[in-house]
Amino acid sequence: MSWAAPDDIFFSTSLAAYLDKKLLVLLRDGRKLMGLLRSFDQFANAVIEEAYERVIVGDLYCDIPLGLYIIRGENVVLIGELDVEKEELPAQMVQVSEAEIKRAQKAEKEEMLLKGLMRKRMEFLDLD
Amino acid sequence: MAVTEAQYCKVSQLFAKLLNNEQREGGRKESAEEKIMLFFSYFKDLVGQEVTVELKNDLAIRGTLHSVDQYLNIKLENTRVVDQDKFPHMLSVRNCFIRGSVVRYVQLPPDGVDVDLLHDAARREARGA
Repeated sequence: MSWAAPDDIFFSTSLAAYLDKKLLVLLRDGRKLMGLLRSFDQFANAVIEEAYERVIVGDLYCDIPLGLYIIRGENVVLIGELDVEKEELPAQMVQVSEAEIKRAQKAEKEEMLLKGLMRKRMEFLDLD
Repeated sequence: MAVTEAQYCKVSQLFAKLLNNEQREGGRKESAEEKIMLFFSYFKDLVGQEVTVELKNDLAIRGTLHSVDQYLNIKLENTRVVDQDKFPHMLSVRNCFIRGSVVRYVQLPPDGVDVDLLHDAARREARGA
């Protein structure tokens, strides 16, 4: 991601081609941030304006506004350019309120925990 | 301002020292870079081909390799996620930048590997180290 000459900027791996565009930033903890890329550097540190987090639980989703975010590069997994012409999410997905998504998140977490617990209890059966 | 003979000597000595240091460091840097550069140049040759990049979070993305840099950051075009149902948020992503540090595998096209060339380069590197 070194500095590229203006004419080959779109061929280089620099994020310059994504400046001022609406992007999806995937973080290492699985979070999905969206917003406009305003600045970046060689570590993929990034400044995202009008950022919001998109929380997805099953077929429910919610956009939680965050404001201006500076993301430390090491946490970035992927930066994707969004196709404005395509639907951002599958049609069956429903937007819900922040409170509702938090509740769904909690329920999902508990379910996973329970699943883990059950697996542990049944481990002596040697299912796999 | 006049420069005395002694001052001039000191300055030129300092320059000589700096220059030496720089050259030594330059040499070290080059050999370190060469090691990474094998795969960097290898991936550069693959630009334009269809690859599948599997990330450490199990997300696998297929797309045309657009560019690679020295950190092995990868840019893909016309991407599609292999397991779309599991990652619905990736539906409208067409082009993406992937940080090199999160890549687990890059699955190459079958004819994209010149094994002899890679063998050669690897041996040369092993001798050099």
